[in-house]
Amino acid sequence: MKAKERYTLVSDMLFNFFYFFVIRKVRKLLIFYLIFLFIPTVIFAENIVIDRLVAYVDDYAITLSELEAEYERMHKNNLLITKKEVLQTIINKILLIKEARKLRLELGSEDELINQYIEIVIKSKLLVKEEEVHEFYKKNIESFKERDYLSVKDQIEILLFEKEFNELLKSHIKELRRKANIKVFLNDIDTSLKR
Amino acid sequence: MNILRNLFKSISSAFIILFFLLNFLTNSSSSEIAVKFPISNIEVIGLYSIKEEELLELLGLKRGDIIDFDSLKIGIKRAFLKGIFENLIIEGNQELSHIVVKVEEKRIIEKIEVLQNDFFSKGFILRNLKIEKGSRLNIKKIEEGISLLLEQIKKRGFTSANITYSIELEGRNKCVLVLNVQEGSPTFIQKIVVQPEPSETIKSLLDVSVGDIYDQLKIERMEENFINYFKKQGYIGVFIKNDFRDGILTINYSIGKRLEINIIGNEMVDTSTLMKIIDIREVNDLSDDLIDEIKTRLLLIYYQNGYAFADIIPIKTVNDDKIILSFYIFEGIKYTVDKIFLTGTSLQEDKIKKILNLKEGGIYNREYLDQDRNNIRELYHSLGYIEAEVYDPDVKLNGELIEIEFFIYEGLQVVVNEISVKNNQVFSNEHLLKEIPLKIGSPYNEIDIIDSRRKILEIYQKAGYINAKVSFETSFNGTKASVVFSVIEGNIFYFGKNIFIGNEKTRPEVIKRELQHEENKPLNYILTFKEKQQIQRLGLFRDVQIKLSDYTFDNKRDVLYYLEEENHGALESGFGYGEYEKYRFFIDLSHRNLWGMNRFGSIRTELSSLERRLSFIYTMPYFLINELTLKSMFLWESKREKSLDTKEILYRLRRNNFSIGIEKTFNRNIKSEVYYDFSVVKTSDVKPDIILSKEDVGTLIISGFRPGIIYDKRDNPFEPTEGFLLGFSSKLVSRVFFGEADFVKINLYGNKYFKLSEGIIFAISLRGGIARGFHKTQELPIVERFFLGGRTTVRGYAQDTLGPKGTDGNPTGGNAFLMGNFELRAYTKKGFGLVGFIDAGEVWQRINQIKIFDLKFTTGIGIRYKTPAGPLRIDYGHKLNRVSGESKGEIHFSIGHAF
Repeated sequence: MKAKERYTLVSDMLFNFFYFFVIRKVRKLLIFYLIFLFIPTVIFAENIVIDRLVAYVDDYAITLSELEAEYERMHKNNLLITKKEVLQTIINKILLIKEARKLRLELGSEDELINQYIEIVIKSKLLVKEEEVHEFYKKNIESFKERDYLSVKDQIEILLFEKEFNELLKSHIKELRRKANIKVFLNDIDTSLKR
Repeated sequence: MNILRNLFKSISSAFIILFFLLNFLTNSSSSEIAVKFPISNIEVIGLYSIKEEELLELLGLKRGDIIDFDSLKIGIKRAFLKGIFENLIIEGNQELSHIVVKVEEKRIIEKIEVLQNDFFSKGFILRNLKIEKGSRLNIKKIEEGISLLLEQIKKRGFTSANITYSIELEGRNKCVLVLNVQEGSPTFIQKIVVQPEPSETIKSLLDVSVGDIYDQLKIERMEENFINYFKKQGYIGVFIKNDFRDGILTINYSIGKRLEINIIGNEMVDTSTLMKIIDIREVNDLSDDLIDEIKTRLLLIYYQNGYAFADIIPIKTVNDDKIILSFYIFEGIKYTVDKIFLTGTSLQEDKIKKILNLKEGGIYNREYLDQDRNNIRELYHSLGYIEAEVYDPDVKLNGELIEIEFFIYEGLQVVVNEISVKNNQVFSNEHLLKEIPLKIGSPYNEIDIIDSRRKILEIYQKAGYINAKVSFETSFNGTKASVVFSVIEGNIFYFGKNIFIGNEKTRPEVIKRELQHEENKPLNYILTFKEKQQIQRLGLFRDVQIKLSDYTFDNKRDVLYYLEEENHGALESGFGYGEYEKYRFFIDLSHRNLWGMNRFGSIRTELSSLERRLSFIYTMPYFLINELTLKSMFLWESKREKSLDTKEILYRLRRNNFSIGIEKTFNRNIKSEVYYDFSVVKTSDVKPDIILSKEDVGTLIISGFRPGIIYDKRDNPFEPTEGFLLGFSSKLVSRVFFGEADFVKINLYGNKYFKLSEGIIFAISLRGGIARGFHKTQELPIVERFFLGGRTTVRGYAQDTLGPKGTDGNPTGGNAFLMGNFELRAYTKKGFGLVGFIDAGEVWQRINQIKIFDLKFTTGIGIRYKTPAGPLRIDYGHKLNRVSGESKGEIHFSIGHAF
């Protein structure tokens, strides 16, 4: 049987079916509706995830909707960022906020709270010594293109401070993560929120 | 026509196919819920530990509501805080308006199995693991526990030990934690080197031998003992340390030098008092700072005793084998304050002198001079003299007397003439100013201003403005002060939902009914303090902590209740001896949180040489309404009443009793009750002379109501020292209530306690009762008549022997009694006490026979020893109105006070 014939046959069949039940037999419209609308709805209807837990940090739950919102926000600035990375950022933020609250720091926004905590706990411990700045200058003298020490001193100090700060923050977060009870479900689930 | 028909056919077919496909596609897994939809059905899967309603309440899901995704996000966070969930997934089906809540619970550790442990007991392992049976599975905690346990095992010499674990799933939400403790071989000490060469005494202190396991804890204890031994001997600078390498234990030690302390020149304060103050038992290094500190402590003792110019010179001498520390004391004269002059004051001098530590005629303690100067200054400041100053006092010596003169500059008194509040919108100025203690016209006082600031803050916080801030500024214009309070109101917050954490056995409704706040009402955090007290009063929790959620939703903060449950079941038993019953024994099995509803149930059996009792008690708080308690009891009892003099049985009794009633507490002090009693009493072998009516023998049904009221203002019901107790109880028994007797009984009592001084209490108790039969009952049945005599009534008389007697001299009991007890109770700090008492009382057969002069008096003394269940007591009562044939007195043993 050719495709055209198959199509004619099917369309004939469907038309006759439709014509007979809908046009001629209006009172049986309901049955038709049930067969073609309701039953498929029931048969093919599948529950979809509205929201769920994607991770927890001690007693703090992170939801899929929260992850999606944060991902959307961060993705605007960094197109390469993945949801897993966003989740790790959220976990780190939670850990720092929890510690900040333990210190009874003044509540502002969460970001302000974190900054306040970092200022007190991390940055206050940092001190770049003069000899470190000098040593850095000597080691990297070629890259300064014969600029004298005093003209680049502040620049080096900022650089070393940032370096040390990053290292200290990283190790601090690592320690917080070691002590916390963290579980991530992200690997097990389809992360797109269907709603 | 055919063309038209074919066209119509094609379009119709295409429409149907398209419709079908679309219908299929919109319902397939890739479909999305784009809009909010009403919830008609909610299915919960995987929930076993709490009721579905509690979970849905936490999630904020309700049948009939429109799903709110933001609220659901908070709901998931809220439910997770409950602490019992490992995972939560919410699925939905828009077409069916159907929500599925899938939860995975954290499993409950039902059992902890320990395998392969030979050397360390299971008890040791579980103690150090710090994971409790019945707790929720937490891998992090298990790993931390194992790490701590391993550390303890390794410290005990099993350095190659290793512990692994596995989780065996049991049932729907339980598991077994299996610990595999591979202890390995211990490390042994193969050689011991002690440096320097030890004496025999030191060898005996070094409790370690070759061949022992290298147990670090044992060696630490040995070192501690070593140091303590030499410290007690008066040595200072003692040290000992060890090093363990390749099986060789090297111990280095030094016993330091003997410390000798001499006190020279003290006459007014004895050496032992000064030695106690020196107390350097914990010190191992005698530094110059420490010597100075000791000197100061010693001087303070002299100053407190009036030796204002005492001086001490410490001298430290170091020899080869000892350190000599000598304190040379120059005591001087003991001074007394003769006069205190207050120069420059316009206030009443007495008013100032009252607040001084130094008193005219009292000991002169020079340490108080500065304190009193400050006290005067603060008094002036509190009265608005903000510039007031008190200069260095002048101290004049006159033999052993001292005259002190304080020089005061008062300045001008500043008065508050203006108070205002700014930036306040929620509360008016009038409202706030009315509530604060600071008033216009009052002297300027910073303490009042600070209190006023606190009051304004409290008003805001009670109204839900929990982040409100209040500051104040003051300005002066001559003697007038103006105070301006500045408010930053912040946002109003409301109470959100309640999250109960840790109530594994107790149902949330039990806790909810103690709560003072309502959802969506302004967040008055002070209410949670009251809630904490209320929940603690339930007696179901060891610890209760309340805090607000970190998250906020629609300006609402959830309230988190962290609860640590007590053990609710108890098995108690006791054995005792009483002068009447002789040996007694009881066993009591009870549970105070039946079905997690704070309902109490107990089965108790009591046995003695005269009595056998079995009782079942069931108590239900919050019966229908708040503060109403339903109590019911079934009692089976078989007892013999015995004459203590003749040892003869007066009668035998078997009683089956059922009572049910309600108790209502009106406030902390007033409690009322109404009980219905139904008893079947069988009396037999009754001595003929005590039979007063036909109801005294045979089986009798007694049925009636028992109302009563108590007003209790005692400070402690078990060990009252102050307050009073007033009570009224009655019993109305009638055939109308399906019984076989008709009578009415009334009891009145009142106890009062006076605290004469610390540890001395005077207590009075007055009690009286009347009863009367009616209808066909002329005499009350023997079990209902009043009897007196014994350990809790009139001491000095044997149990129930006071009052009317039968022809053979046996007590018959009566329809009326009066009784009074007077006790003087004295306690020592170690819990022992001595009591003197006078008791009086009498029983009359009829109400119209009451004569106050018939009262029988006794007096006596008793010994008490305080225990948690009340004082253990032995009393001897001596009869003051003894008639011939009666004993002189009686000894009584018991627990608890007589009243």
